[in-house]
Amino acid sequence: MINYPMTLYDMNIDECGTIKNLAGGDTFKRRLRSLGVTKGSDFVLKAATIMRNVYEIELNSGTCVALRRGEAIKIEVELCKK
Amino acid sequence: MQEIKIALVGQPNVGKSMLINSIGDTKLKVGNFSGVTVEKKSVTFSRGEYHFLVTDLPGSYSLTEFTNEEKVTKEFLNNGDYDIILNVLDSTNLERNLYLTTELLLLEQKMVLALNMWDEADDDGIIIDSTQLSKILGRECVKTSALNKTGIDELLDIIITEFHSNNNISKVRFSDTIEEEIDSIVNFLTEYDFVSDYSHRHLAINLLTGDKKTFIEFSQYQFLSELQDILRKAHRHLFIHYDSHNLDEIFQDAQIAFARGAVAETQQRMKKVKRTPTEKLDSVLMHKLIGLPIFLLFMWGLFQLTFTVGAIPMNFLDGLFTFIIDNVKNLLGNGLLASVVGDGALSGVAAVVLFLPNIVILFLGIALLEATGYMSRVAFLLDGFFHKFGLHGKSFIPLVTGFGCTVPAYMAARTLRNEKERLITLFILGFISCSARLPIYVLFIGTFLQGSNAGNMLFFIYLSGAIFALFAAKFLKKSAFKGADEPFVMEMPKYRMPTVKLLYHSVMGQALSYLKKAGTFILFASVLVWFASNFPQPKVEMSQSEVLEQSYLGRIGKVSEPFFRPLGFDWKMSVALEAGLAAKEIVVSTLQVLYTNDLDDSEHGRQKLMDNLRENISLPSAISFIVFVMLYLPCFAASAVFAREAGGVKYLLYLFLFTTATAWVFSFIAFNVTTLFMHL
Repeated sequence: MINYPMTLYDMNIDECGTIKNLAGGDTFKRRLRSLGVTKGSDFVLKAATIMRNVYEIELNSGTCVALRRGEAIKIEVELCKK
Repeated sequence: MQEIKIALVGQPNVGKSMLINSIGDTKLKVGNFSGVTVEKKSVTFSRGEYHFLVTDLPGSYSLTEFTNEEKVTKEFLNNGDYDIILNVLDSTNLERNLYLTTELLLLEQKMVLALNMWDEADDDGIIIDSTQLSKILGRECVKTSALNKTGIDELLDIIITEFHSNNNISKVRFSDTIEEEIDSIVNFLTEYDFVSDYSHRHLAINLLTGDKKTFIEFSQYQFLSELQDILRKAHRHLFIHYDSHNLDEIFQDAQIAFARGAVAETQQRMKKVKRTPTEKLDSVLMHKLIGLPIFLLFMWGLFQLTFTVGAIPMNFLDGLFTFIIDNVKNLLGNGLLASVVGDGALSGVAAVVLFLPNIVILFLGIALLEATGYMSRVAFLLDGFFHKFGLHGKSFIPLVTGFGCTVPAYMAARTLRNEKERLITLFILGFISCSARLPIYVLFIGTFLQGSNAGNMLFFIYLSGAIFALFAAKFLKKSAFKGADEPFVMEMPKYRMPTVKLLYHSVMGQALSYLKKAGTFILFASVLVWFASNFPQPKVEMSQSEVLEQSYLGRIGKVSEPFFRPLGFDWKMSVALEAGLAAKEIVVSTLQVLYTNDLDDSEHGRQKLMDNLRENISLPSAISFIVFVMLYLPCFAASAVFAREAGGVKYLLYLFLFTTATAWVFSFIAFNVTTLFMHL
């Protein structure tokens, strides 16, 4: 069985996590970085739309960022221990 | 008086515009940055012996080229005419804001930092040591609050001091590995006594990051091959050390690390104990079930204000212009001169000014949505649905506005930052039936579909226009605007209360921009239509219908009849459609003249028109006509605004071809399907 890495897409609302890796193109990664979404950033999944096609995360720095499902799949995460 | 030119830079939602608007006696100038449709706002004011010219650059998260706004900001900072950068930062989110600051520091320009929203940070339990931050960054940091107008005088004093200083060296430091490579290039340039306007460190960083402009500059020197060897070695070292072959990524991470380090040394954050107002509001406004209905309620309110309240000044302006035109025509003797001034030029001016109340009210609403931070929530709620059709969540606002009037709807599309999504929205807006098309639908439904079905039919027309627009967006996304989706990564700003002055400047900017750009085009077009419908002048006495028939417009109608014949239209219907390019309201009056030979707009005249239409036009032709009106090019005023918003007249030509082809094909289908059904 293949163990796929956990992504933002797999998380539940109010769960917290740490960003392990960013996949996708340079533009996408650059945009995330400029908003403070970088490897090692801690965050909470704050909200998702009813069909779960848009997600909102809140970083520890206080920045809230919205992303589509297609982008959420590209963000590899690790759940917080607490 | 000495002039200080300031480039105002900051990330979106940091209160840049609000900060500059908090200075008294400012004068606003609006325009576009050259070559693009991104709006350029400049503010001028004087203080003592100094005259300040502030160019408010579009909000940018970094100096990348992700959006048009970022391209404009980068271009201006690299090549624009300014003396000093004023970098505005959101004190409640220092780390993210400092990322842009590190990029600005690397430009080696004079710079002052405004730590804005200082009061808000204080409320959130954030303490920043601004003196220490100034030392780390090598630039003065001033605590400001645009909302409470604090720190503004100190900020201006420091800008004046910095303007006279020569402090432009960057104090940004990277990791030891990167610094080692920078040093080796700096040493190389020093050995060669290389002279430049920039420091050797600045050039070394540019060379290491592969900046094309710097490479071109160096290509003329003989030592280039030697330098390239050093660069190759440096890159190899960095790739191995960072386990990445992406120089961009390596340097961005280094900049983020610098920003984090600066924050760690200067900021203390008290533990958050209670829910913030933003969290409380979001729990309602972004609620899975009630979030959307609340937004629809807001939109309904805005729509009512725009088109119901807006109708009051519109009617007043309409009456005023009718009065002026009638009097001017009487004064000029009702001849050809009176006609060109009254029916041509003044009618054109009226057509422009008439939309102003709509535009002001709608943009006040949109400015409120944006400035409070609610617009991002709207995009969040609606993006899932609209993205399926290649649109953005924010496309909803121009689309709904389109039901009222296409002119403000085109302007409302400015809220879309992504170029492709904005263009797709602009291209499909014409399919949303505006209120000016209503009299045409009412006339044809009343004439051909009498009875209780009339209301349903009207609803069906409006609904099918909206559905058609969505599928047209999907079609454009798959054809003309095909390509991979650009990533949707959007900041959700905190809710904030905008100041009256900010709203005033925002709305005023839009209104002036509309009057300046659209006005000139509409005026020209109105005179052109007047000419086409009045020339050549008849040599003998003729009825109004005959005058129109022998005019250039009538001749064009007759020439274009073969084009319209497969759709079931005669030359009179063709002329009415062509006249409708000026304004959709003209379609009914043109039909009135052509089918009844007079301009009697009373109940009797309208009944006569309906009777004549029923006698001369078949049901398939009528349905085909409705479909064509639904889908063809919007009026002149809207077309002028479209050309400006899309980025040039060539786009208007594309729109003309796209809407005409679509209207023709679907009218043809409607005509033949209805004919087929009638023969069954």
